[in-house]
Amino acid sequence: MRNRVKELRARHDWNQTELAKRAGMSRQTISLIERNEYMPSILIAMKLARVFEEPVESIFMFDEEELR
Amino acid sequence: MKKYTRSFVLGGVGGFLIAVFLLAQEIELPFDTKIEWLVGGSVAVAAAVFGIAFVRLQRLKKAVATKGMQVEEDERDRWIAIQSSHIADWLMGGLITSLFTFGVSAMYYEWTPTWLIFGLGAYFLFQLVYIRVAMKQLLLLSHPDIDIPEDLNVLPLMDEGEKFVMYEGMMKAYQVMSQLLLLSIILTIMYGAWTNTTQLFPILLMSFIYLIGHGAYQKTYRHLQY
Repeated sequence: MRNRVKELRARHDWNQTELAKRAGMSRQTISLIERNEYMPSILIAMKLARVFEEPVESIFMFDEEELR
Repeated sequence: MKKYTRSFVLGGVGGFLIAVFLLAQEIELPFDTKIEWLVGGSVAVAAAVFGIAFVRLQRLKKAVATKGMQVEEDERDRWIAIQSSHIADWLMGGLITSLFTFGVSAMYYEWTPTWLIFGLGAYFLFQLVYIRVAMKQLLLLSHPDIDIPEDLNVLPLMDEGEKFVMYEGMMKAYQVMSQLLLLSIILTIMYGAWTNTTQLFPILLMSFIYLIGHGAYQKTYRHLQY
């Protein structure tokens, strides 16, 4: 799975701490997601989608092989 | 001199001085037996480890308070988290070392009350109290925005990412510690058979510690499940 969290965060000119506060989660969780070391739950994904004002599927993208 | 080398040397010097003071009361220098060397060395190591943990914690608090780090907030938070983790490791190492030191000296002197055993027992109890104080300070440094509970149980306050990291670390630490403990039990049994001596007490004690550790791990694991 890939995600655009870091890209969207940079677009809004937020650091991880600021994004974490806006999304209601820890900076550590943001860092794990950006480094693809952790697959977030639906709740976390929805929170990030709301903060970035983008659909969840445009932020978190699966490869075709993973969806089979 | 690098700052960590300096703190290590400071801890080592402090530990050596404390060891000499304690042991001069009970053991005539130079040490005559290997066990006396072991006790002396253990005292020095225990004091050195505590010294390192204490110095590093004070340095971290000073760095955070003065905001001397000219880095981005993310890098600063990450640095604090890493330093806190290292300091927590040193604190646990100091606690284990002090317990080992107390145990070895007590067995050497066959539990006869001496100032050395009392001193080392008191030092272990001090470590138990200090580690709690230090852990609260570390939590305040790494999580300045949350209210730390009195029992230091921050698991309910963690989000899933933090629980994930803690779970990963806990798994590795538990596996290493449980394997070391089991190896110690096996070696103790073999030692008892080799020397034809009863090692029932240490085996029972280590088995009890293993069960307690396993129970604590299971309890924390259930909290971390998400």
